Amino acid sequence: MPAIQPCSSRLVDLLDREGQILGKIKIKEIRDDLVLGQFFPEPSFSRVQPLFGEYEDAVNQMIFGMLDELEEAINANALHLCMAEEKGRVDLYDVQIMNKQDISFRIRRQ
Amino acid sequence: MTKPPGELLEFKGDAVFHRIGGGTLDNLRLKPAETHLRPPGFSVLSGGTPQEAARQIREAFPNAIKLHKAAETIGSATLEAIRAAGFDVISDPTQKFPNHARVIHPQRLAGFADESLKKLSKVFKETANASDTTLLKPIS
Repeated sequence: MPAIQPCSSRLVDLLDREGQILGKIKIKEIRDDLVLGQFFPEPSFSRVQPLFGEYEDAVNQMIFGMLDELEEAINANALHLCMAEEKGRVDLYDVQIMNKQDISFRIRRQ
Repeated sequence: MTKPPGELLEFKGDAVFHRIGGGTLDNLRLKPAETHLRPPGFSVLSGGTPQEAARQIREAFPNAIKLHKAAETIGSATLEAIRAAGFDVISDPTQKFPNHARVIHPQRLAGFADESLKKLSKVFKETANASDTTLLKPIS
């Protein structure tokens, strides 16, 4: 699996199951398997944005019982990173996008 | 697949439940989406300390700034006290929170009128600065 490193200048692509680029991510911090970064959406992100918006609303309203279904719906998009330099794919789960640009996710171990 | 609530755990009377944001009337009123839950109710986290509940929130949602702010105050109450106020609690575990539970009322939605919630509000004891990490013990 390609290594993910925090980097102030490097951007990595966030892709869905069809290989569409949903946006680019600037990795800011890594805590074990949790990665935090800044998200820059591409136009194709609009297809899945409502899911993330609904998730953020449910979190902020503390309606935690709804989150499993929303997480399943987000995971159904098989979100992954493409690390161009390493020619590798990194599968993600628990992808959250909040405050428009703040992204967090966890690395799915193979 | 979402698990049906209320099946997995029986709580004892001295079980403690934590409401993120505290036990004020305003924070106990149901949001529109919560009125559609079956049964209607609001989320609480069971067990542990208020500080641990706040930590669970921060770890589960690292970018939820608004929620982190709310988690600075935690309202805590025992099952006995919640029942004495006319409400009850069912388990509603989720992937993120195996200790997630829901406060419900025997009269369902009608039970969440302000008059009833005022009684419930009184049984919650508030902890301020629940997000103060210096109060946390390390996880063993």
